[in-house]
Amino acid sequence: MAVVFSTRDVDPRERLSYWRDIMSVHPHDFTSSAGAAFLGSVRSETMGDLFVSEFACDPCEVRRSEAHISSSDSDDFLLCVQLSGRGRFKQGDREAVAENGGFVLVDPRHPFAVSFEGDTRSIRVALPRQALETRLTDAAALSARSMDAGGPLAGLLSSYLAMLPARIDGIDPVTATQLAAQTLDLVALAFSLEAGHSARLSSRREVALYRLKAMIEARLCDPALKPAVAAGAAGISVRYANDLLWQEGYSIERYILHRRLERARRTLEDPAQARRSIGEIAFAWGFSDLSHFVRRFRAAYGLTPGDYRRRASERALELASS
Amino acid sequence: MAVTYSTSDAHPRDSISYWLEVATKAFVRHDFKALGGPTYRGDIKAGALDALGVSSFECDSCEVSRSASDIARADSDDVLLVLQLSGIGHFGQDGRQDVNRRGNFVLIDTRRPFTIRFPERIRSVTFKIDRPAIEARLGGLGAMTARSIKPEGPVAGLASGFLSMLAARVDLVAGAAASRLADQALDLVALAATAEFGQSGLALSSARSVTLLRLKTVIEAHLREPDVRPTAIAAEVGISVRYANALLSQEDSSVERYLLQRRLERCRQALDDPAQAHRMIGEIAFSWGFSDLSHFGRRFRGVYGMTAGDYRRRSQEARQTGEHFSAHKSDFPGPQDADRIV
Repeated sequence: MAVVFSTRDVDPRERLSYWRDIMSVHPHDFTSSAGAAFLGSVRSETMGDLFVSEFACDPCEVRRSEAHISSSDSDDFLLCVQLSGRGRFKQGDREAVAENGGFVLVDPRHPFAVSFEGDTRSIRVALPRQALETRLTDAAALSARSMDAGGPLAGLLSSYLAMLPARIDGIDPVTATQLAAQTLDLVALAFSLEAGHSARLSSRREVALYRLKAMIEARLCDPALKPAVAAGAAGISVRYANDLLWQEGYSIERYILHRRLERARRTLEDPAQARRSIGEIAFAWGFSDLSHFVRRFRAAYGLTPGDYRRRASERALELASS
Repeated sequence: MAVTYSTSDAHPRDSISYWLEVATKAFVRHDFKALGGPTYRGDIKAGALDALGVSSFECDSCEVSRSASDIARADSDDVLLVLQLSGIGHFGQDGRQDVNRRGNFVLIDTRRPFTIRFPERIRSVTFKIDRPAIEARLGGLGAMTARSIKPEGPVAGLASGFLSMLAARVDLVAGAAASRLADQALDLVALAATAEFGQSGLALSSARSVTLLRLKTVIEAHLREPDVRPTAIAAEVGISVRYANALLSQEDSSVERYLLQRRLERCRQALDDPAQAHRMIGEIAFSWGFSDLSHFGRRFRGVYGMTAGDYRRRSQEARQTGEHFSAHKSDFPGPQDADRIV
């Protein structure tokens, strides 16, 4: 259910303090050149483990200090998409600007200041730190960098996030969880591709590793995906591919297995796919031997696929009834 | 890299045959009938995000159908997703009929007959999806074909918006990014389809199609075993051989023919694969369950129109010159051959 606040319904003399009260869940200093009559509205909703807010407000400044940080218990990343007006972000010696659909990621564990200019409309998504960092290892290094919506993927992410707020209300909790995971995937994809130049030059190794993983991901369904095929598709030798994955604790073969297990696990969690047999799911994600799949699944997740599915459906029922 | 075809490049009197040729290339073999006058206007921009084909097109009113004989040529194992950008399309498959309006999208299986009618000039984007990639996410397509998914559904709306944004960017993204993005698009489509059909898709999906899927899965799992018999396969699925054959007969196949077809296809893939260039042809055939090399050789030539050795050479040469190579595929052996198979 969306939560909507607007200062419009409040006595003009008390609007600014009302707004400060609402926003006090995230400790920060808040000032506005509009003074006490500040106009602002916010509509917030949760989607899975994401918290999505749509803001419309007068020019204002937000400042988060060390003291605010130590009194805050959330360290979620903030992604701010500026639909109209302009947001100027400062963190340490970095400065970033978001406008015309451009966006900025903010790591709230370090002090920052934002000044919103003009007629601001923006979408802010709180992204759980761990969920983002497993997808984007250097997320913290991407804080306070301008991401222009002119880039093909940045533009895609920006328009996608702009579509979200109007739709979240109608999404059931289980689908919302899946959609949240996909949204995080897309955020990570956009940053990993388009922040490359501005954040820091990716090494050749990182580019090769990224390419290798993408080629594996696209071919998981094919039981014939073997180390040589994956390395060949990425244009590198098996030896180099193994070397690249070694730093993450995998061999190429184990990485393929890991990704297949993950995709199978996600499928088992999905109530809409409850009619599919476990064997069919395993086969669909490239396993060719059911007993091998069951052994590997149990080794990775501590439960048989059948038990895992039962637990997941119990959780989904709780979620749906809560 | 996207390629653009336009009927304006052809002489007006050749416009219809020109269009059929390029549309076949971009989508799948089909019959075509222009509904207007003798001059047909159509433009296609055919591109791809890794394995996901993305073709934007605009064309005059027409009727498109794919018949059982087109399908018997086994030229495609793709699933088409048609996103309507303007105008409307009438889609028919599996006894269902639905109207695809602006912003809607619809799934079509190229392995079963279908009909499409565009009563007016339309704009659309068609995504050509590798069957295993969509089936892994959804199970079988079951009752999802020819059912228009409307953007009023919250997830469907996101998917529809995402797909049209993707089509506009297909030229700008390549390599690993394209492949990740294609995965994302499929994840979102699958989520939209399950959100849309979820329980209703479940109720409508016939026990028959679920059993057929299980049958195919079991066959696939036993391809490598030379002595596997239809009785053993049917028993593992828990049905009779007779019922198993009846299920496959809707695809003009039988258990034995399907088994042969899949073994040949796996061998062909191995012959295409540069990483397996060191394997002897006999070894490949044996590893996919053939026990008689001359039998394999005959069957391979029967289906792909050349010997396995020639096929491998042609495929290698095509790779070196970067040309597209596809073997001529004859119709699959008829049922009268069934007793000689395996």
